[in-house]
Amino acid sequence: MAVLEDLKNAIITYKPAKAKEYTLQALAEGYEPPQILSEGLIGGMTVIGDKFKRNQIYVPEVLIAAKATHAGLDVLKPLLSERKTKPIGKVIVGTVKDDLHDIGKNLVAMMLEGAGFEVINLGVNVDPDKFIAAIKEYEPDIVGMSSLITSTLHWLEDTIKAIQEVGLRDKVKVMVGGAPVTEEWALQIGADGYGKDATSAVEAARKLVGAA
Amino acid sequence: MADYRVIACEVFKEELLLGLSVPAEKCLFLPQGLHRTPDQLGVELQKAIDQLDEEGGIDRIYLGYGLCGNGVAGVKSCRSRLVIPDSEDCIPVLHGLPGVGQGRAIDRITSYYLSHGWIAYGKDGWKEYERCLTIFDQETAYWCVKEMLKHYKRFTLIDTGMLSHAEDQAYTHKVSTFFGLEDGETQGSLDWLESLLREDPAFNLTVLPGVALETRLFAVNRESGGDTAGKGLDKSLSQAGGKG
Repeated sequence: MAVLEDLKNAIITYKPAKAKEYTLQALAEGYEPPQILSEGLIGGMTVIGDKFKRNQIYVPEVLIAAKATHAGLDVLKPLLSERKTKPIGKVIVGTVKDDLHDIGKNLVAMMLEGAGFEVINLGVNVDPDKFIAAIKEYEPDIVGMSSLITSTLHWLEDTIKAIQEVGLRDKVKVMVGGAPVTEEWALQIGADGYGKDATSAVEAARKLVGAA
Repeated sequence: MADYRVIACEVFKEELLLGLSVPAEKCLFLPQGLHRTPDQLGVELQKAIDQLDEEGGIDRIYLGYGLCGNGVAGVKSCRSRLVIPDSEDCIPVLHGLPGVGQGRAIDRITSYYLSHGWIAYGKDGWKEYERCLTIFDQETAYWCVKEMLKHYKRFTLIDTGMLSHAEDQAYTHKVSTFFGLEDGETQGSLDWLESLLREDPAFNLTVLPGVALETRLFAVNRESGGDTAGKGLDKSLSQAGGKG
């Protein structure tokens, strides 16, 4: 288990090259990719997420820790795909129209992948039509939307309404998040789930697909 | 005669004290970064209001904030009416009243706005870079901040006519050059803040003592999609009973 602890620490101490090295070492030592993912990579990012929530670290630290996690994920992804493990659910994620903030949304996407979801990341400035097209194309279980600034918050509600108007609302669960989003607001606008941070977003997603 | 107080974000400090000559003893400034944690902004703002309520002697409190990530939602005063710009945050307020001047064309998508207050009290890309240098090597620190700025095309200084304008211009130029972004400037104004102190109902919301500010009262939500956002809300309702 020492190598998984080293891997976790490489993420917590912001060392992408080390994270890749320890991921390769863990594989060489015979650890299974899902265990390396959950105990090493996601274990590290969970600590980072917790520190961020407590204002002990800030966005740059999260970015470099995410880069370290991706360095390990890049090694594991082909191996995880080969195993053809059925994902626990399919999620499309995107930042709403007129909003280009994606750090938190990408963090949630990564944590969801780590938790066993298939994630389709639509990027930033995603208008309601693009969300709708993606629902039709990918038939996800969950649509996750993020808004970081007050001026784009209304797009969460507008997108939910647009999904409803084309008759797709009962086909998907909707999760929302972002700094100005509160649980109360999420419920008011008709979302099914809300994540205050990346860890709780994963918990909410697991609940929505009945995996919690 | 009952008095007033101003509780404002530090970002407006110079504009209020020097630009509009509000006496310092009537102002209380809260730290600039609270909008990053809207829950905490609400807590700190309520604490400041409660303190004024306890001291007594005033009947109106002018809030130098916007909706600010819903951070102001829920705050109320037991004794004073609260007046606040009907704005999503400080950026439109610094630009000035809608329809006045060229600066009203706000481009949040590609412009990273700076103002005197943002430079003096805020955390911008340069300050974040300097902080990162204490944790990471230069290359990593630069990568982190560039990553944070990746969607922006320019730093845009909002000129509200503060004495420090030349210094703020030089700072904006330095930061823009360093991070490879365009160096922009736009004309701001003090007129929205001035209208706040006049309690002009066209641009500011007023709630009576005991009534909490609500998200749905703000124009940014009144103009959006549906009922929960308060579409079609009557302006008199938005002012929650007028000035009293």
